[in-house]
Amino acid sequence: MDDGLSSFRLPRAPVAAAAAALAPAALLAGCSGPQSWADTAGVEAEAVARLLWIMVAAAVVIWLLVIGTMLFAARSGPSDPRGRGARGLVIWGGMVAPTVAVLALLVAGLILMRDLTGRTGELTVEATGEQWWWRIAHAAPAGDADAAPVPTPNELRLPVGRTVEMVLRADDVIHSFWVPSLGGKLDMIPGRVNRLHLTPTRTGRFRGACAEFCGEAHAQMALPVVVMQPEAYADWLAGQAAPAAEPADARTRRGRELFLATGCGACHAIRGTAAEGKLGPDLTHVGSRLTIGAGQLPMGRAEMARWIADAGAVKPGVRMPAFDMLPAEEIRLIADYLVSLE
Amino acid sequence: MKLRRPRSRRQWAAAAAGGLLLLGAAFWFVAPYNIAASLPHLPGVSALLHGYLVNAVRTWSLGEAPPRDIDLDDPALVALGAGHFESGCAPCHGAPGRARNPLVGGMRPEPPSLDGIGGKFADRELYWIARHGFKYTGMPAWPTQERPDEPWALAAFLRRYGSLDAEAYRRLAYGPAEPRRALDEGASISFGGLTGRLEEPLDNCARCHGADGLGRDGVAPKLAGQSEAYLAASLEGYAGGARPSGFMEPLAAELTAGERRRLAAHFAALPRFAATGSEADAELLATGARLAGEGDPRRDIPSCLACHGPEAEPPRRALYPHIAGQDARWLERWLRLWRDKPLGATRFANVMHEAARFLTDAEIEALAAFFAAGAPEDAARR
Repeated sequence: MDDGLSSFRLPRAPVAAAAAALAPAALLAGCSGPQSWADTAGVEAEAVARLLWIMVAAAVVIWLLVIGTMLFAARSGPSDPRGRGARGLVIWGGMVAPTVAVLALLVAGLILMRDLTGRTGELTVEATGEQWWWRIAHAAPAGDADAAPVPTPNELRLPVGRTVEMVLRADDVIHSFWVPSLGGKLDMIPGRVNRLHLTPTRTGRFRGACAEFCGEAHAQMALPVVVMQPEAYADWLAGQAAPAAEPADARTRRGRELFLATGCGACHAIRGTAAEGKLGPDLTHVGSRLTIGAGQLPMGRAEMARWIADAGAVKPGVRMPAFDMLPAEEIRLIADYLVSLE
Repeated sequence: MKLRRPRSRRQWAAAAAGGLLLLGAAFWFVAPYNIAASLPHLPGVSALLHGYLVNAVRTWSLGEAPPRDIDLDDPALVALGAGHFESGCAPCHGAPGRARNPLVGGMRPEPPSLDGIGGKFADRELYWIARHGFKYTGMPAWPTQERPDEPWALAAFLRRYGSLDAEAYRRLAYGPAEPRRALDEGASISFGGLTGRLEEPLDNCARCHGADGLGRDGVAPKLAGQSEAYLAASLEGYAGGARPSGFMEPLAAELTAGERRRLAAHFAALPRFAATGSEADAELLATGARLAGEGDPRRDIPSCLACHGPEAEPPRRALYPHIAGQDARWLERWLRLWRDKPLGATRFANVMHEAARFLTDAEIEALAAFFAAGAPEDAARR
């Protein structure tokens, strides 16, 4: 994709021409990968893609017809606009055909929307858009109907072959939930509950993104998605539902002490400790996540220390203040503790 | 070049303007008006300048009004203003019952004695003068423009100035603490440091914070039993200007680093302050308790107690001050400051700004009442 985009910034003609020639290749390369509507991995994404291809095919046919008619008219020279067949062409070709085409598209779209949003899922996952992260909670493991949903912020894990009902909300401004490989896109609107279905068809790692401009760090509001075998998913969910592990060594124990002493618990919860904050992401199993900061840094001790020291340098506008006034060693201890929470 | 006699009216006007400009430049260069402070102004000049000053104060102070948490009749605010007057203003303006040093008499304009200030200026005008000072007079602006709240203490004090005798003034500025030198003993001059260098800088703290560190009933924040690290960082912040305050910066700046450390250790070792009975109503306390305990996650307001909670659980960082039992005035004042921007000695001020930025005035009042009452654990259930 980068090759295609950069061609707009290059003023020299030969380079621009070369880049323009490469652009289709680059665009095609963008059609596969973890965030692609074309490289589908879900029943709903396939339905969307199918409709799109039908539309493209129909559009090509209509375009050829219109251009062909135009060329024919241009070649056959002046003729009487009130002549035989002209009236029929205007009525059928100019009024009836577009109406039918648009109506057909509307009906197809409505049917598709019903299929994407109208059924009951086998399991429920709540996702709330926040500035600028995803508050995600999975319905508790089966057989435990009263249990509270399990918070797993900034990472969506789904079992393959099951239909999941995404319950979409927003906390502050309008966001939009979109995992292109798996399914449709739906806005998250403050004060409203929107529902969307996802039925993954293959396992793997995918990427979602906020698809509605929501403020400064909108572009850094990504969502790693993992589709797993149902058994692995059940194991994972049971693990996430458990309280945080006790620190295994003196270093992580000290890290936990510092985490609590510094007041991180004002915003973050670590279930099983005194930290019960609900403003920011739940960190009970933060070490098990793939990324830090909603897809911004890979999970790791150095990256976590970097995030704690100055999250705003990684994600401008982030609500978490910088903590680089803490001694560097204390930041490392807190980071080590957090990464140990798997 | 040959000068021609101007012909048209326009040429006359141009010649006149050029001549005036030339005269002005000559006046500026030769400087015939003597600016020596040893001579009085020519007749009328003083009145003209002073009249302009009074008009400027009236015009520029329009729209100034004390914020909702500041009460000009609050005795603590009056005493705070008197305390600052003693260190920042009395050296030039004198004080009730006290002569001024002859050095001051040589100033032109001479800093007026304020005996007759009552009724001359409105409250907002007194505030404006204390905050902004005057150009070309020697009257300084408030040491920081980051603390628009502070000069109100001066206004609260000055509006009562005329009614104070020497003893009443001494009680206001010093409280029960006896100054080491009797105030009428001599008219010495020293900015920030009172009458000469005090043997013990502690006396300076005690004037407002009390010798017991309990703040003289709200004149200044309670310090007794606060952590040494926190007190030292705050004093360093005042001394270096990172923590703005017109009261504290001049006093902290003239201390040596060793004195600042010793003062921090001294107040840290005093018996810890506690709540002194609360008259706040139960509903206000309950609101404060809920907010302090759980915050309001929907509005991104975090819990206060996660950082400022009881000592043991979770253990607190030494730089996080103890606030249960602190005077409500100062809790409210600082929460309002932090809501607007990060002000403080360390970068933890950013954290406080993030925590306080969505609080309403009413919530700040409730939180101040709750912590001033000692953060009672049963307040939320009442």
